[in-house]
Amino acid sequence: MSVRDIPGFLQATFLGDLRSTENLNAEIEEELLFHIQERKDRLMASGLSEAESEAEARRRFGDFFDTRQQCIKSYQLGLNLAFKRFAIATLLVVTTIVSTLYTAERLRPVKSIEDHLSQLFADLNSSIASHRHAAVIDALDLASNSKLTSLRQEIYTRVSSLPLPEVIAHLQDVALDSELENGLRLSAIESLGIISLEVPAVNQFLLESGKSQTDSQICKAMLAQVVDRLDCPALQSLVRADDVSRTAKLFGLIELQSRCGKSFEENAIWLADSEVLLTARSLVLTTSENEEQISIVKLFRECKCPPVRDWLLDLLDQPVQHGCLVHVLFDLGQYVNDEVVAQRMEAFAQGADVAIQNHIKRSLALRTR
Amino acid sequence: MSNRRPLMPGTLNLLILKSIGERGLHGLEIQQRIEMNSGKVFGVEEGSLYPALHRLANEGLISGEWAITEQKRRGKYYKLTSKGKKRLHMEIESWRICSEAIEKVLSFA
Repeated sequence: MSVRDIPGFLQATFLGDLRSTENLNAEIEEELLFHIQERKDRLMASGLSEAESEAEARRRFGDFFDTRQQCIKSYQLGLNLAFKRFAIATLLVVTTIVSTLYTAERLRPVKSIEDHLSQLFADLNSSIASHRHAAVIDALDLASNSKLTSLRQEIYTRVSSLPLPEVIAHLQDVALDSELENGLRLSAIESLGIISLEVPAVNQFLLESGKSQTDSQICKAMLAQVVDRLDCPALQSLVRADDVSRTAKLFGLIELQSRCGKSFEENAIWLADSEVLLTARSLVLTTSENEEQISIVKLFRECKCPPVRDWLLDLLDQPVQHGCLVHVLFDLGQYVNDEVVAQRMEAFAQGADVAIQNHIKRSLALRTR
Repeated sequence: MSNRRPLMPGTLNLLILKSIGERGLHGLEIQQRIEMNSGKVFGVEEGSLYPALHRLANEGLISGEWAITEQKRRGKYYKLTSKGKKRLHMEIESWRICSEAIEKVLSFA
């Protein structure tokens, strides 16, 4: 590439006036001849003849052609410097462009991931089974290797409509993995809940896994997916079973009580079951939280029957919290016409504080004679 | 005995830039101004002057423009550019420091 191959606007910027050799020669000659002519004029003005002035002017000037060559060299030297400036500027521009392209290249993987995900999610809905299956495998593989919780959650949501064995196995692994964060496990559980509508084995998995979960959030989430499909006997066995976590028992108890609310006469029998009451007693006595004790006691408030009456009387002898005791006495107020209850309450009042005594007095006053 | 002395090396550019000033001058005027302002001690030959003018023009320190003289002749007139003014200021400062230093050395007993 020569200097003269540089585009015009760049020449103007970096090289200034770029003249051809012919023009340059002519221009320099004109300038030097002007010098000689001016000198001649001044010599003539001083009294010399034209010929003498011409000769003297040329003599003083010296070697015309050598001077012209020196001027051309100066011009070319300057041009070389300008060309070097241009080369440096070009280098800077190229470096900037390369740097920009490099940055763009670094950003490209992000774009590629977006494209890949977009294609992957589209394939999950493909009408061609083999495409769909391949997309599922890719999606699960991506989820396994990704540290992005939101991406994994998105994938779990997308595959919930595809109850393939690989999907179920993956989601079950995630749901049971206590090393993972709960947000991710809850997403997997939610997707399993959708799949459980079609696959009974998943329904069973959620129920059995939920029973033994010690993490109350995971336990409730698992059981919540299947609770609508559990009848009263199933709920009762959930409460009564030995190998069931405290959270699962409480969950079953609350759900059983809610069924009583819908058709109490029909369902009270399931709640007032002796083993259910025994479990409830254990739940009350194994917590020191006043509110939790009260919430358990209140579950039986509407269930007026001898087993519940005896259950309440038994709690009077147990080391329950004061607030819970007030609720037990309040509920026993429903049975004050029962002589056994009335006598037990009177006896209890004798060793109790004034508030409890007044409460018992008011309850006993409601006895019908 | 003539006082005429050859130019000190590296001073031609300084003398040209200083002589041109802001008013446009052609080569002969620049040459004569240097000679006159130096008390005819320095004379600049054309073989040195014009290559120097073209070099300075290429560096952007002076700009040359063609104009028509009173004798209806086309001549090239040079002016200082803003870049040239800055360079002139720097060159003068540099020269003063050097000349003062030389003077100190010479006056040292």
